[in-house]
Amino acid sequence: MTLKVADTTKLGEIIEVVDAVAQMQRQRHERQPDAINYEIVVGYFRRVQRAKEEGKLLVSHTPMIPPEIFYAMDIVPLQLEFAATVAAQIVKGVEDCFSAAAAFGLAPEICSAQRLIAGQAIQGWLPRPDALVWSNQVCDNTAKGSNLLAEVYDCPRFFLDRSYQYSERGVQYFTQQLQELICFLEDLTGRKMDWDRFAEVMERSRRLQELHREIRELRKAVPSPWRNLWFIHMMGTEMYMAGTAEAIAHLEAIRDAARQKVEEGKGYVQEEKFRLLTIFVPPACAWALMGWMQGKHGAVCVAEPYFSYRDGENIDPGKPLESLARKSFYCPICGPMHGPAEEGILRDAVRDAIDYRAEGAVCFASIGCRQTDACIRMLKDSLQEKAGIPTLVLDNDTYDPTYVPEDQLKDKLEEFFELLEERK
Amino acid sequence: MPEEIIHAAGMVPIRLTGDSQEPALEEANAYMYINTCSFVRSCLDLVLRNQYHFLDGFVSAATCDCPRRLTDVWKHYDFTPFVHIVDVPRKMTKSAHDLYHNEVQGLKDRLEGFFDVEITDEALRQTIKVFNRTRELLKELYDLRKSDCPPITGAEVLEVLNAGFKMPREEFNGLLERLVGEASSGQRAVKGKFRLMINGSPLNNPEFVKTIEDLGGLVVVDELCTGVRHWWDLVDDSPEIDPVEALSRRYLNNFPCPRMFPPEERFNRALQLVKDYRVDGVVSEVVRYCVHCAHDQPLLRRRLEIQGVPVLELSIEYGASGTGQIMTRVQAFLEMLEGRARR
Amino acid sequence: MFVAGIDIGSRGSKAVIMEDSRMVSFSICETGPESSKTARFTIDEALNGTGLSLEDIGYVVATGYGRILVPFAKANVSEISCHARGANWYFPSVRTILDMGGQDCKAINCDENGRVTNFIMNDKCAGGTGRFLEVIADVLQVPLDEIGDLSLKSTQDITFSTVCAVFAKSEALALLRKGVSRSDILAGLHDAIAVRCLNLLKRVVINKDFTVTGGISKNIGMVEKIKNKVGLEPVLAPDPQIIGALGAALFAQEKAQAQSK
Repeated sequence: MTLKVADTTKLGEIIEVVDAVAQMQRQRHERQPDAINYEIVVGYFRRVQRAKEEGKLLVSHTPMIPPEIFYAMDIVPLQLEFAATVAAQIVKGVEDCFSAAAAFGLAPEICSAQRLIAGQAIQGWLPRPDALVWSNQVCDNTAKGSNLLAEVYDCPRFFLDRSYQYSERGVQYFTQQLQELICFLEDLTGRKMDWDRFAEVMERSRRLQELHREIRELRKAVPSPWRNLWFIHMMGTEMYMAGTAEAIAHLEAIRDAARQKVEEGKGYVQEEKFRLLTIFVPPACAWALMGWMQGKHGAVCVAEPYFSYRDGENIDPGKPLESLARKSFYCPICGPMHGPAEEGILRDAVRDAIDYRAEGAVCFASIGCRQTDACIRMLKDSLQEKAGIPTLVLDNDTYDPTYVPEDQLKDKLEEFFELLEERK
Repeated sequence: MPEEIIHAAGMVPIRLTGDSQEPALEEANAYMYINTCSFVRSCLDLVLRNQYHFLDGFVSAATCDCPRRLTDVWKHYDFTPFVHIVDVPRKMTKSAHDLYHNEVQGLKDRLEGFFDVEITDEALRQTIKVFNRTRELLKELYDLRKSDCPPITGAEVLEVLNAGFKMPREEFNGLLERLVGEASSGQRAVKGKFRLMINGSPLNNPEFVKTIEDLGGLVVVDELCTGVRHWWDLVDDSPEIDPVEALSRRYLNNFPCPRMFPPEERFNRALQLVKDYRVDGVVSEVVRYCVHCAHDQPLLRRRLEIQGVPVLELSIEYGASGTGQIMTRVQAFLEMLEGRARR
Repeated sequence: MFVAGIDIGSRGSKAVIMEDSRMVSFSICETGPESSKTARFTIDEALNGTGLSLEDIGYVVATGYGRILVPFAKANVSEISCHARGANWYFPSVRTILDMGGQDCKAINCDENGRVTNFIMNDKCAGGTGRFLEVIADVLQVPLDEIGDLSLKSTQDITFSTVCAVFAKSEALALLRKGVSRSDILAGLHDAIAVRCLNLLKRVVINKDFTVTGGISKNIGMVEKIKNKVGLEPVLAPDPQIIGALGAALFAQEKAQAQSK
C-alpha cells in the first residue's frame, strides 16, 4: 500500500477555522465556556502539527485510550475519531476519504468513523504517527480498525484489551494491559514513565471527575441552566484532554456559567418547553441541531446517560494505574457502551429520566453504531415502563450528512415536540 | 464458550444457529436494529417464533457486539430462566489466560449453583475425551478432503457439522465414526473443476455451499467458526492438568476468530490451510454488519492474492442459499479460474 | 458454422448471431415474465431477415439473469465473462470494463484474449443500477431515455448519498417539493452513481483502454460523469447493450470448435 504524501494543509485549515470560531465566541460574554473549548481544540491540533519539529513522539489512537498516560509521558496524542469529527465538519473532500476507504475494500457496513479514519490515512490528511494505540473499549469497530492503519502507516502498534465485565479480575487484567502499554511507549521514547508526574496528571483527572459530578447536580435544576452543545464539548474534553489543566479550566467555566443561572433562578433559554434525555450523539455534521432545538423550540437536553460520570469510585492519584483501569469501567462512553445493558445503560437511562425530570428521550441511531442501536428497543421499553416517557428514534449517520439530511431530522423532531405538547 | 462444561453438568449443549434461509426477520427486527448482523437476528427470530422453546438456559460469550447485545435482549425479555455471559479476552497473553480461566470457572460455578448440580473433575475429564473424539474424527474427515477426488462434498460436510451442533455428542460420535469409515473405503470420489476454500462469517446453510459445488467448484476446506475453527485444536487431556485449566487454554488459544489480536495469527493459519488443501481459490462470504470479518477482509485478500490465490468476496445475509447474483458471481469466478488455468 | 449468444437480462433480452467471428445480426427485446418464451422471441427477432432458422444455429450459449432458463442453449456462461469477451471483440486493447446493468454494476479486468483476470461487483443494494435510475425517472416523471440529457443541463451541485437507493429516492422527492430542478437532482444522482462506479473500478486495475458496457452506458449524462470521475475517456461500442450476447456468441463459437475437435 503506497501512501499519499502527507498533506498537512487540511490540518492547517482545521486550526484556522476553529481559531476563528474561538475568537468569535470570546467576544460574547455568555459563550466563554465555548471559547475555551475551541481554544483547546486549536491547541490540540497545533501540538499535533508541531510534534515532529519539537522532536516529540506522535501517537494516533482510538477513543477512550486514557490520554493521561500520553500526557504523563510528554507524548503528543492524536485521537483519530476526534480528528475525523472535526474534519467532517470543516474540511471539504470528506467524500474522497470515504471513496478511498471503499476502494481499499472496506465494506459500507463498517462504521463511517472508521471508514473516514482509514480514508484520511490513505489520503494523507494527517501526519504519519510514530505509533498506533487502539482498543475494544467502545466497540468492535474501534477494536478492529487500526489493523489496517498499522499496515497503511507501517508503524509500531499496541492493542489495549479491556475485559467486558467490571469485576476485580477485569480491573486486574486492564491494569496489566495499561502497564504493558506504558512499557511499549517507554521503548519508543527511550524514557521511563515519570510516576510523580503521572500522579499529578491523575490528580487533575480526579478534579475533572469532581467537576463532572458537580455539573451533573447543577443540571437537575428547573429551568435548566444548560446549553445543549456543552455536553458534546465536555465529551471531547474528557476523551482527549483528561488530566490537563486546560480541561479543568473548561469544566470550571461551564460549571460557573451553569451555577450562575441556577443562583439567578433562570434557564439558559428564556422559555423552557421540553426537558429531554439524549441517547447517544447527534451526527457530527449536524451539531447545530442542538442549538436549534433549544433556541427555536425551548427543548433542553437535561442528561445524557451514555456520557456521564456516575457512581464509580473516586480516582486515587496514589494508585494511578489501577484508578485509570477502574475509570474505564464507569467513565463516559466506555462505561455504558461495553458492559451488560441491564445494570448499565438501561438502569442509568431510567434513573436519569427520573432524576432530571425528562419528558421525552431523543435517541440518535447512527447506522454505523451496532452496539448502541441494539439497545434501542430495550431503552424505549424501559423508559416507557419505568419513567413513563416516550422515545424518538432518529436514524442518521454520524459522519455522512447525505445519509439522512438535517432537514429530515428537524421534521421528525418537530413532530415529536408536538406529541410532547399534547401529552402536557 | 467451552461446551464441555455444560455437557459435564449432565446437560445437552445446543449451539444456537439461525434459519437456513434468508428470512424477513420481522420478529427480530422489532427487538434489534437493522445493523445487528443477520446471523444474530436470525437466531433471535427463531427464538421469538418459539423454535427454541426446549431450552432451559442460554450461555453466550462477549465475543462481539451483536451476540453480547443479544444476551442483553435475552435477559431483558427473559427468554429463558438461566442466562450467562462469558468474557473472552482478545489476546492470548498470560494475563488474558488468567482472566479467561476465571470466566470459565465462573460459568461452572454458576451452572452448579443455579441448577443444583455438581460438575466433578472426573465428569469433565470424561467429557473432554468425548469432545476430543469428535475433533479427531472431524480431522480424519477433513484429511480425506485433501485428496484429488474427496469422498465427500463441502455441502455434505456442513450438514454433518450442523448435526453435531444439535445432537447429543456421544450419538454424534457414533454416526461420525460410521461416516468416516465409509468415506475412507475409497468407494466414492467427488470431482470438481477447482478446489475452493470458504471463509468468513458464521455459515450454516449447506445450500449455499451446494450452489458453489453445483457450478463446478469443489469446496475442500473452510476457515469458519462453524467449520475448522470449531474443532481444530484438541483439549489437553493429560491427567496432570486441571480440566478447567485445559479447557480455558484450548478455547482461548484455538484457531483464532477475526476478533482476536494480532490478526496475523489467523491470516497465517488460513494461508497454511490454503497450502495444505491445495486451494485454487477462496470464496469469502461476509455477512453484512459482521464487522470483524469486514475489517480483516481487505488485509486477508491481499495476503492471499500475493500467494496467487484469487478471492471472491460475497456480501450476503446470513442464511442465504446462493441464488441470483451470488450464483452469477460464483460462476464468473469459476470461469475466471478456468481462464487462469489455460494461461 | 452459425452460432448464437443470448443474454436474458432483468429488463432487456438480447441475441446475437455470428459466423466465423463476424456478427450476422442482433436483436434487443423486452424481458417478459417467462424467460423461455422471451428467449425464443428474442432469438426469432435476431433470425428474422437472415433467412436462417433456429435449426441452422450450431451452438447457442446463454448468459444474463435468466441464462439457465433458455431451453435451446447448450451451455450458459456468466455475464461477467461474456462482457469481457464481447468488449474484447470490439476493442482488443481494452483491459478494464465497467458493466452497468439493470440489477448490478461490475468492474472487470481482462487479458488480450478477453479472458477475465479479476472482477468486482457491487453489493445487492439497488443503488447505482439501471433499476435505480428507472425508479428515479418514475419519481421525477421524466422518460428514462431522457434523464441523461436532462442531467447535463444542471446548474447547481447537489450531493446525494452514495450508499442507499431508498434514501436517495425520498431525498429526491423532498428536493422536488422544495422546487429544485429535475436536472439538478438528476445530475446529483448521476454523480452519486458515478462515485460508486469509481469505487468499484479502483478495486481492479484501471487501464487507459477502458470501456463502459450495459444498458446505462447509453445514457450520455452518466458516461460524462464517469469520464470525469475516472479521468479517462471510455471507448464506447455502437451498441453497448448487446456486448453480453456478443460475448456469449463468441463462447458458443469456441465451444462448438472444441466439440468438433
